[in-house]
Formats: sequence, C-alpha cells, structure tokens
Amino acid sequence: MLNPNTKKRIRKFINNKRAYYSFLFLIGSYILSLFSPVLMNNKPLILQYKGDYFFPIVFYYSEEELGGANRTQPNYKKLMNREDFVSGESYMVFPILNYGVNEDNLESLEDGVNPPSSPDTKHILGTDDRGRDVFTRIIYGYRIAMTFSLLLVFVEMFLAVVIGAVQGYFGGLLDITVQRIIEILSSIPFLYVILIMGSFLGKGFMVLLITYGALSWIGLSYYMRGEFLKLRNFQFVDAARALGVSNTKIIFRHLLPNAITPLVTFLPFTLISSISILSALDFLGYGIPAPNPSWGELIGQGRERLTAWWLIAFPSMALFLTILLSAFVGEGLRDAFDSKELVEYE
Amino acid sequence: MIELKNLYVSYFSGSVIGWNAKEIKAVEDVSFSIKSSETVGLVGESGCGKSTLGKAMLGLLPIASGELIFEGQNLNGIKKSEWLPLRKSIQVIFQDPYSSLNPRMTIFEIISEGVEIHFPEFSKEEIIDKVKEMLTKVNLSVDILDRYPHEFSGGQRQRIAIARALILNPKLIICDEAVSALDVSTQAQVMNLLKTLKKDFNLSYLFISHDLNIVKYISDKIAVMYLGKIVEFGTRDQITNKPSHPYTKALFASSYDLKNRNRERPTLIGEIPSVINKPEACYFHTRCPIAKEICRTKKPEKVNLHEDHFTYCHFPEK
Amino acid sequence: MSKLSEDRKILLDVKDFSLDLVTENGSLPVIQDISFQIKEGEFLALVGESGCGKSVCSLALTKLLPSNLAKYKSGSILFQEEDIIKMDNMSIQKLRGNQISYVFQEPFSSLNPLKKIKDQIIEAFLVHGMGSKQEALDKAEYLLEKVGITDVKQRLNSYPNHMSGGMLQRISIAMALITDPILLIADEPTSAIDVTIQAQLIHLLMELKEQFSLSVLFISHDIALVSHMADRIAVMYAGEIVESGTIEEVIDSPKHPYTQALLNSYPSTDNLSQELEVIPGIVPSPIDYPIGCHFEQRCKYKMDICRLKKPNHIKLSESHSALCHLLEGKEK
Repeated sequence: MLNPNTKKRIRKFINNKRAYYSFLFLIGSYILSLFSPVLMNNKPLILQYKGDYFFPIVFYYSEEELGGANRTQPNYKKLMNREDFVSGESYMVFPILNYGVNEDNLESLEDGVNPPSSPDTKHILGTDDRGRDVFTRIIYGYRIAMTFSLLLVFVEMFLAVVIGAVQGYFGGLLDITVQRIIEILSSIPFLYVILIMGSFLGKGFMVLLITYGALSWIGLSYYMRGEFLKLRNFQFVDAARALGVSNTKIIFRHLLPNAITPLVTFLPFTLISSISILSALDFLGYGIPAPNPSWGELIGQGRERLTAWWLIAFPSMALFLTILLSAFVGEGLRDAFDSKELVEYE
Repeated sequence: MIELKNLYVSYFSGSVIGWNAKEIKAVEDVSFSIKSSETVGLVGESGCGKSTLGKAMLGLLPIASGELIFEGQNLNGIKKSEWLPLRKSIQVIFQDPYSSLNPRMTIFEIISEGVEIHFPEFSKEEIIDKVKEMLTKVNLSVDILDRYPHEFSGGQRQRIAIARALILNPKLIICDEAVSALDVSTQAQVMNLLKTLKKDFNLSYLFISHDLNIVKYISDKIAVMYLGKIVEFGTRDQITNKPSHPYTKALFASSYDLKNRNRERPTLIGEIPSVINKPEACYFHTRCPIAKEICRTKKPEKVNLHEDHFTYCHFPEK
Repeated sequence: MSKLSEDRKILLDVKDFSLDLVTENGSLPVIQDISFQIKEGEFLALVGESGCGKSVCSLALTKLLPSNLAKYKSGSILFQEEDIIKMDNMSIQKLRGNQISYVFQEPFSSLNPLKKIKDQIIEAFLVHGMGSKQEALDKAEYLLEKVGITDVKQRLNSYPNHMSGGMLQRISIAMALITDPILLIADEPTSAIDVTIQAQLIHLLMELKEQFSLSVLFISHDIALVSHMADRIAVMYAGEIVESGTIEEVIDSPKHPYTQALLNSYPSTDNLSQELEVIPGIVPSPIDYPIGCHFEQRCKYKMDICRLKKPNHIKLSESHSALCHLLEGKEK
C-alpha cells in the first residue's frame, strides 16, 4: 500500500494539467521513438517471396536469397519494381514512413535538385546534406538523445546518492576529505576531458556516457549530502542505531526514502541539461559520431549551409520542445513536493 | 543490574580537525546504579548532560573514561560487534514522537525491525504474532500494521515507540524525555502504561526528564545533575522531602504543584553557565544561595547521607 | 490571586467569537463561540491542550492570521469598546505592537538572528512614532535593566545567537513593553525555557505587571504553572471555552468534567502512589467536531442530550461559568 503522502503528491502532480500532459507527451513520444525502426525504415516489415516469409527489419538477408545476384543487402525499394513484386506474386509491407535513417534518397529527388532539399510533400521536413530524410533523423535522434540522457541521469543519481549519503551520514573527517576531492574534480574542465577521452578511446556512445557520468554527479551530491546531514539528526536514526541496525541499512532503508525530494525534483532538469550538452557536443563534432542521427549534428550541417533553414529550424524546435516540456514536468514535480500553502497576510 | 562508575563522556564542538575543536565534558565523574525493577529518575536543566548520559548508556556515544558495568560486564571500550547482542537488553524511547518514527515505514516495519536483527530464527508469521501481541500490550489496535506514523497522534506514536522497544524483551529502558512532548492527559496515559509494563515485564527505567512532577510520580530513586555532574542522588522521598543540595532544593522549589499554591518560592539568580565555560571548583557556586569562599576554590567531595543517598557539596543539609 | 474589584474597566471583551480556518480539508471551525473578558490590570490564563485552538485564538485577536485562510465567522472582539474584526488595516496596525504586544514561545525564532538586539527592540517604538531614535535607545536600556539583564550596553550591541533562551525571552518581554502596551499577550513564553529560569521569568512577569499596570493574556498548556500566577483562568477544549472563573473556582472546585479530569491527570503530591486519571479517547479534530458537546465522547457523565445538543454557558457565579448540560438549573 502506497504511503498516503506519496499518493497525495502524485495526485497533486496529476492535477497540474500542464505538467501532467507534458509528462505524458514526453513519455509517449519516447516510447514511440523506441519503435522507430518499425515505424520508419527503408526495409520492409514483412516480405513474402516464393511462399516464404522474411523479416528484413530484424534479420539480414542477401540479395541472393531473394532471387537476386549479389550477396549484399538488397535495396528493397528498388526490389519493389521487380516483376514478381509488381505482379503481386511476392509482396512486401513497408513501415509507415519508408525512409531509412541512413538512406540517401538521391533517386527520389527530382532532376536538378541537389541535397539538401527543402521540405516538400515527399520529405515533410526536407533532407539533409546527404539526402537523408530530416524527419526520420529527428525521430531517431530523439531516441538516442533521450536514451543517453536517461541512462546518464541514473548513473548520476546513483553516484550522487552513494557519495552524498556517505558524506552526510558519517560527517566528520570523511566528509571533509571527500569534499576536497570533489572540489578538485569539479575544477576539471569538462569539455577538455571529453575531447581527451574522445581522442584516446575513440568517440562513441559508451565513452561519452562514462566520461560525462564521471563528472556530472557532483552538483547533485551536494544536495544529497545536505539532506543526509539534516536527516541524521532525526530521532528515528538514533532509535535505529539503538536497535542495532547496521549503518548501510540505515542509509538505504531509513534515510534514503526520506531524502528523495531533491532527486525527484532535479530529475527533469538533469535530463534537460544532458540533452542540451549532448546536442552541443554533437554540434561541435565531439559527441556521438556520424553517421548516428543527432539533432546537434543536423544543426551543425545547417550552420554550413545557412540557406538550408530547415536543417536548423526543425531540430532546434524539437530540442526546444523537449526542454520546455521537461521544464514543465520539473515545475510540476517541485510544486507537488512542496508542502507549504500560499498564504497572504494583511 | 547496571552500574556507572566515574563515567566521563565528552564530545567535540567546532571543526573536526585540530585547531578549533573544543572538548565539551558533557558528563563528568558520574557514579550511580540502577537495580532490577527500579526506576531511576534523572533530572536537570540544559547543559546538565542527562541526554548525553542516556545516549552513552545506549552505546550511541563513546565513553571517554570510567566504567559502565552491565550485568557484570564493563561496556567501556568494547567493540561494536560486542554491543550488538546487548542492544536487546538496553532499549530507548525518545522524546519527539514526530521524529522518532521513520515516516516512510509502516508500523509493522517499525516495530519488527529489531526482531529481525536480534531473533533471525523467527518466521514471518511468528514475527507478526509478536508484533500484534506488543500492540495489544500498549493498548493499540492490531489493525494498524499497514498504516504510517503520521496517521496517529503523539500519544499513540509514543506507544508505538514503546512497543518497538519492548518487543526485544529488554531489562532496562532509557526514557529520554519520553512524555515531555505530550499533552497532559496523554502523558497520564503513557505514564500509567509505563508503570504497568514495569510490573508485568520486570523492567528498569532510567527516566530522564525536566518535568519534576512527572519524575516524582514515577521514580523510585532520583539523580539530580548540574553541568555534567551528579549533585545529589537518593530515594524519591529523600530527594523530595529532605533535599540536601541547594540546587536540588531550588530545582524542586521551582516546580509548580497544583495543590500547594502558596508555598515559598525562592528563585535562583543568574543564568545557567555555558557548558563550554564551566565555573571553577563547585559548578553551582555562581548561583548558589549559600556559596562560600571554599566553593570557589575546592571541588566538593562526596558526602554519604544515608544508604543510597549521597550528595556532592561543601555544606549539605543533613 | 488578588481579589478583583468589579468596577475595573473591561479592556478586552470577546463575545461569541467564531473563526474558521481554510485547509485542504475544507473550512474547519477551529474556534466556536468563545467569550471571555480581560479587565484592566488582570491576568487571564487561557489553558488547553494542543489542538484546542488557543494559539489560533491569540493570533486571531489582532488579525495576525493569513487573511486568505482565516474566516471570521461571527462574534466580536472589542478592545476598548472598538471591534477589532471590523477595523481596517491601518487601525489594526496602529494597535499591534503598540497597545497590544506579544511575547512568543520560541525566543530563537521570534528574534531575527541577523539584526542586533538594539535594532530589534527599538523597532516598534519608532514604527509607532513614539519618539526619536535616541529616546528609543534610552527606553530600551531602561527596560533591559528592569528585566534583569546585566551588561546592558553590551547586550544591546550583540546578536541573538550569543545568548541563552532565558535571556532572549527577557529581551522579548522588554521588546514588548517598549511601547507601553495596555495588553500583553504571551503565547507559551516559558515552555521552551529551563525550569529554574522559568521561575525567574514568571516572577519577573508578575513584577512588571504590577509596575506597569499591565493586563496579561497568558496562554499555556500547563495548568499547574498558571495556577500560581493568574487571576482568572479559562479552559479551552476543542475550540470552545468549557469553563472559566477565578483560580479558586476553577482549580479547587472545577465544575466541568473536562476540567476535573484534566486536573486529576496531573501528578501532584496527593496522588503520587495512585494511577493518574486517564481521559479515554482522543481530542476530536476540527474536521469532524460533534454537533453536540465536544467533550461528550470522553465524558464520564455523559447523557443523551449531550450528544444531540450543544450545552449552554451556565453562569455559576459572578465570575465562574461552565459549558455543560449537567449544570442546567444551577445558575445563580
């Protein structure tokens, strides 16, 4: 049975329409983006050939297996024009949007038009400098950005809780020593570390995650430390110690559930900052490497071709919208956790 | 059953490292004992060290020097792992019913936590039965196992805290201002309960309080502390009717009794000195109505007045 | 303790006053139809347990509650024959800190830790335009000596966090007296103070009351404490005043069952070896106050009518009255 206090907070959050709908939209769109290979892909979902069923989205098939000559993966759109598909003997079912994330749609362009092309009926948000559909890239980019940020948030929170809790609960010399170490760590310039790590270990999702995670927990740990410093003076801590409860158990079972307020209220803002920083790194070229789709990278392309306004406008809007909605959610969470009423005095 | 001999407890205020740390001698040279099925009341005002003493007896604060002998074993200097089995014998009830129960734990979790640690052989059903038994003993309904502390009043929460301590079958319970935060009628309830439980379970209490009427009501013996030292120790009747130390007299004279309203009320002058800057020699001499020169220069020695009644004073009233 | 002459003027006359507080559970009737009076130079103690509404009452008397949460439902609060409830903001502000002063419970939070003592003491004096800054400082020195502070000049120049609770409460009392108030409202001023210092403060309060001809409204949960200093006492339970009268009347011959039970649950010299009387049940919450007598569920003498109908205020003597059905017909 959920703590009535928690229920009250959930209710308060839900009653805040702006925050609640933003939350639903963000979650919904993220889940949708997780299914993006199924929704927008240049490979068909199901392919029937000579009576057998193939699933090109999941498995790799060579052209040979499908009646072609090469051993490479067939271009399924070209395959659509083969007689057996045209006649209906075989068929394939494409996803809703049949552009791949890395497909250069050069054939589909009209003559004389070079990539990047402006928005038209075929590509609603235009194409980028390699002819790839911008809309598809934005959605795939959203998936990567959010996944990265969520993972980062969890790494960050885990580290911040453990370190902040140890500092706050034990206090004394341990606290002071760790605090000095943290101060040294926080003076390391973040961008340089990313660059150095990138050149040593190669650019990639995991490298970025680990490097970023190793430095970003510092701010949150200050709050957790504060919470634990405050909480350890409560008498139920003394009572637990008098019962003989071990320190680890006290920290995680007794204190942590009471200290989640900063964690929950900071979560959306941590998310915002990590998405922003990721986009900034991608823009500079130091983030997730090409050809992975990313908003920052699209904006970077746009910087070089200022006439291709859609390369700047649409990813920026996506970024803006994500940050705005996350901010609403953050505001809603903060209000839900706020125990005081608004009062006026005469 | 438990005996304190020349016990010293200190803590440090100010910075942890080096230069600013000041050692505050919260408890100095305290010696008295608590027998089985006996309630010893511990009274004193701020800075007297009574709460610190209680915590040291629970093993929550380190003992600087002296002996704390529990059933023959000296607890000063034992390792943390050796303390663990003793914790079921010495338990505590704290003052603030609003912060002594974890707001995120259910009543069942709160009461059963100790059992899980000290009696791991009990099965889940046995633990539930034991918890229900305790709840009945403290006059609470057994349906509250899944509820949370904030749904209960102060008096009910204190009873939950009592159940939490009692379930381990302790020999000594330290009541650190256990009823001070409660309303008068709730205080009465909890006091009656403590008295009943003492009889039923053969308990001893160290009843720490600043409320003299309550202490007079519940104690068999009373210890009076001032700025870390015991100034007088005796049976309840001796302390109440024949107090020897001037502080004891002034302390009990400043309590308000409903029936004796026209009694002489001598008041002390001056503030209670700070714990950091204790006066010389006899700590009480700055406010004592009968202080003489020797009180400023020589520490008072122990004067045995009767059996189990002693005081530390140069001019005790006999 | 002193005999009151009946021809002293009535300073504060609260008549049938009711107040609601708006909470997330709706509008709660935390004060219901209370009436009491304070005459000039009189010490009235308002006693009750937590949740009975006494602190809300003390703040309500000068409209110190948040205006969007406190609803003044009915009744009147006449101070020197003017109704405070009907006063506009300007007039009330002229009253607060001037003719009606407060002393609160927690000295460490009622004084600003960031301002020097002298700036805080003279603030009320200057705000009410009673003189120049120098005059204020002189008066502050005089009052601090009166309340028993030594090294006055040094104390004036220091900050609150260097002083003990007892000293800060003395300063709070001096602060309250700087504007020569007629009525001092003290809300549990000694509850956070050590016992021997408490005795000093009470002694001081009594002296000042005589010297400055103050009326005092003293709010407390400790009936034993107030029995030693008040002239009259009003007992509050669950938003209502259930009994009021002189000390002798209320303490020595209480007529309301709650007062009787309350007095019996105090450990005192004559019940040391007995069990203390326990009042069964718990105080009702304003969320569901009963329609009849608020104390009925826990009362030893309850009758059917107690559950159905609110009791009347029965006047047992010139000064003694109680709110109880049992006393119907005993009016004098």
